[in-house]
Amino acid sequence: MGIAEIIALAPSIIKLGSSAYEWIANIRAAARQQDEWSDELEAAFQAKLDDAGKQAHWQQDPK
Amino acid sequence: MKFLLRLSLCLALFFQAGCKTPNAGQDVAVVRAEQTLSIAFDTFDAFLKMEHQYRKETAERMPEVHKFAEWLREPVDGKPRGISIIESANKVKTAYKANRSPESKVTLISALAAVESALSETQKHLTRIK
Repeated sequence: MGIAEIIALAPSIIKLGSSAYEWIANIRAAARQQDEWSDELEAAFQAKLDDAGKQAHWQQDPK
Repeated sequence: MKFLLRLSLCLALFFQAGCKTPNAGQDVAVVRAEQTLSIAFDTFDAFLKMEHQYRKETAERMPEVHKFAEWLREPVDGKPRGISIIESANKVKTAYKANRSPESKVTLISALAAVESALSETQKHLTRIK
């Protein structure tokens, strides 16, 4: 792989690294949980699910 | 890139395995259920983000990974299956919180088994995205 190819891939690598970092941070936060969710946390989780359902990466390929 | 993903997965599994003990007075079944739902959502989301980023290449080179991603995205009751599975288990958890009987605990454990199965499959496919 040449330098030009590596440079061309850099934004994808950064984006991928950022997704992986966010994923690990979220999993660490979940692992630290010691109390049942409060009503606010429950609502925040539901809002996260509702929001994700609208994101492009959650949509199927057009048929 | 494959190395980065594998490293991420190992770290994620390490932190997942290192779950803290619930505080005294807290229902372990509920805390563990919420941890599982949270981890499952974040893993589905990360997998679908990564697959989406290389959607065309994944469909061409790893059709089974793309097929699984599409299965998670397939609408069930108007929502992507991955979200629907989590929401449905969360409803069972809410029902259990309202009536903490041994029967509703068994129902909660069964609902979580479906989430854990999809989570395990996602983790398997996640390591294959290069």
